[in-house]
Amino acid sequence: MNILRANLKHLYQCRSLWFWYFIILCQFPLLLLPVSRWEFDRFLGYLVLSFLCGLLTAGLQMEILSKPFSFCLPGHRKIPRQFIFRTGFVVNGLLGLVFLAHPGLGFPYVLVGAFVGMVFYLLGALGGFRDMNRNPYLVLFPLVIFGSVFFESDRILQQMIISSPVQIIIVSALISWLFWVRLGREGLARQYCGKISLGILASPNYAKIKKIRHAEMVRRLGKKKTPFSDTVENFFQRRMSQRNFLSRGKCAWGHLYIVSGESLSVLRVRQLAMMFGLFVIILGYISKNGVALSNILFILPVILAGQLDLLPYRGILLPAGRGDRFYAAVISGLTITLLTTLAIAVIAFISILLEPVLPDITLKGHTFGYHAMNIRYCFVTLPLMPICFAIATLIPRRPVLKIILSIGLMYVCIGFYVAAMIGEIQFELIIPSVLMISWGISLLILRYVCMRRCLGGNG
Amino acid sequence: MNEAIVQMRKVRKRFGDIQALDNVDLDIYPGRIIGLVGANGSGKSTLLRHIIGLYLADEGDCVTFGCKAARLGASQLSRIGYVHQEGELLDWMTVRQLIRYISAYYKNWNSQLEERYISDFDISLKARVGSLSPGQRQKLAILLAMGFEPEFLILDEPASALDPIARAQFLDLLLGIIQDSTRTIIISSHILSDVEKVIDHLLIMKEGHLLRDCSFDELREEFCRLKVTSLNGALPAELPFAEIVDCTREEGRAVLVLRNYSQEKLEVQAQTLNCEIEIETLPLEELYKIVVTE
Repeated sequence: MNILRANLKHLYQCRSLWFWYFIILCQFPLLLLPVSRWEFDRFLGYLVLSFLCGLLTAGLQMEILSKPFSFCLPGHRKIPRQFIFRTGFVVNGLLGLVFLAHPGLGFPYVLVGAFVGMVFYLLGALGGFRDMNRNPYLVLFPLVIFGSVFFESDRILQQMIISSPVQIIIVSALISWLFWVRLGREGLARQYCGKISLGILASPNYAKIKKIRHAEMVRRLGKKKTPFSDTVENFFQRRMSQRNFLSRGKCAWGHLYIVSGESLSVLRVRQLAMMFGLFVIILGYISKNGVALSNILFILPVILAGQLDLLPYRGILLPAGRGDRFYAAVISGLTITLLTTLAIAVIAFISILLEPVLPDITLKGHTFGYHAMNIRYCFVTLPLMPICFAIATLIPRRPVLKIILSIGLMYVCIGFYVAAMIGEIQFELIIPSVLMISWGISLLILRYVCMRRCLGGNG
Repeated sequence: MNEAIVQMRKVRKRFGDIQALDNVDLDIYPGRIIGLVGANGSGKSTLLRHIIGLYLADEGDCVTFGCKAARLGASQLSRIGYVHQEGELLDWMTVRQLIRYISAYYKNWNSQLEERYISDFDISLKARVGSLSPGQRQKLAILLAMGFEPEFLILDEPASALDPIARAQFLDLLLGIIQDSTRTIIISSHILSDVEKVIDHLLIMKEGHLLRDCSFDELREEFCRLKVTSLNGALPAELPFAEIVDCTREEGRAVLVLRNYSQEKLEVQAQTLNCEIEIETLPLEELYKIVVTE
């Protein structure tokens, strides 16, 4: 089996990855749009695509290298490097063709474009070899793109390519050579062999994700100097001990403990407050028709809810029947929804207090004014979360499908939000019925899972 | 006889293309120590999970403590201890936190027993459950299942990840527990030499079918190994014993596995053949092979 076939076979077997290929394919028209519309002054969008291709190609190599005893395979040291570079040549050779659309630039510039693309591709490849849990690229990538476009650094690079093509080729070739040497090192395969890491391609593997999350949790809990988990434990234990044995109250508190205790135990309140503070301030300055982008916070909990299984550890036998589990899951879902909505309402309230205090900012001739969050959109979070809980509980072993459904739901909400903004729908009138429908559907799904489905193991 | 604590009638369960349980009929009476044996994928864990209501049958009924398994409530489940084959535990907790959490559910949690197990099994209370070795996890799971002294204990592959010393400790512990004649235990295991030391009843499964549901002594009495040694140098080509399951012959010597034998009859036949016989009971491993390959 040749290298290409071996890799393609691996890709084909991970069918859920096709979602990622689809996402990348969707980027092609967006990135090449300036060329098709004959806007020749900016056409380095293809570098983003090179970067993404590098990330995926290296991620695939990482998947193969991390298999037990992969270093015993013949040519194990050479194959990842060969595959990454060969794919890079093909991808960037094709993407470099965008230079042909620029008037006055001939075929040699395709070569320059391909070399520059190769550097971005290899940077992406570097990210593909990293653990996604601690991959700074994931956070930095959108920021870098946004910053580059805003500060027009792509124009500067584009000008450098056009004015000094030879120097750019030399620098790019040198960087590529460094990557070539690094990827050909002796211990590469042994370094990654058997390593449990959540690479970009691991996303469809439920068992792997679960294993990695727990390992990460144990690592983070072990590092904490003052175990917050003790406070969480004492809080729930006190409530459990106040309830009678075999009562639903004890079961509900115990259930809430195992649903939320894991996340609460590693909660870093100060870091979280800082993160949300920055989020609300920065996005408050980005607005359209006086509506701040920070309002997106109202629909972000779908990501939290979409990951939270209200029936965790289904295989553990506790003195709680299926009916008790249903009751406890509903109580947990309701509690988490109300607390999350309350937290967002508090953030929205703080943003209202900040509105008169924060000054306008002028950047490159544009003036940005701060806009507060609209607190009445809290009512969007309330019907949204139960639906996400229900999806996560219904398909706990299909992480990619959960993400797709959650994102789909977010788009529905954005549509709803836009319709509310332009006055097509009466927000206050529709919310009570949406609340009833969403909670009704969620309760039916939860009841079905608790009462009719097998729990644990193959179930 | 007491009323059965578990009654399964025509239980069928399918996972995709696999028929995990096929027309299983079973009664489990209190006080029995039952061994559940079978190859991987024969349906042992599926059967146990039906008993405690984690799995629901596609067809048929499963009743535990007089209640349909799907409707088992806290009062019934608080009487059952269960050691999970996959050792599903709350990985993010410390051992101490997990024990405290589980014990909070049970009124009859025995703290002295808990301390004894912790010291016998050498479990660190400060360790994170997720960082324990498979053997340590299994020990912890055993502690959690036994800590409240359940009247019905279900052990699904409890010793598979234990080292030989821990396995011996576990067997001692189990032998201690079975002194209480009111307790019912089902133990599913691949290590048949361990199982046969403690059980009095046997269930053998193959491809979702329950091949045998009998007392262990009954099965042992059904089969025997007969060593025949000729006193005059040669054995006849056809040996006159009925229901021979297996036969290995050397010159003047034969080792047979017989079914439904009678010792008196064998002795008479040996005299007529002018040979010496030795009758042995078969170990569970061999009995299992015979039943499964039949």
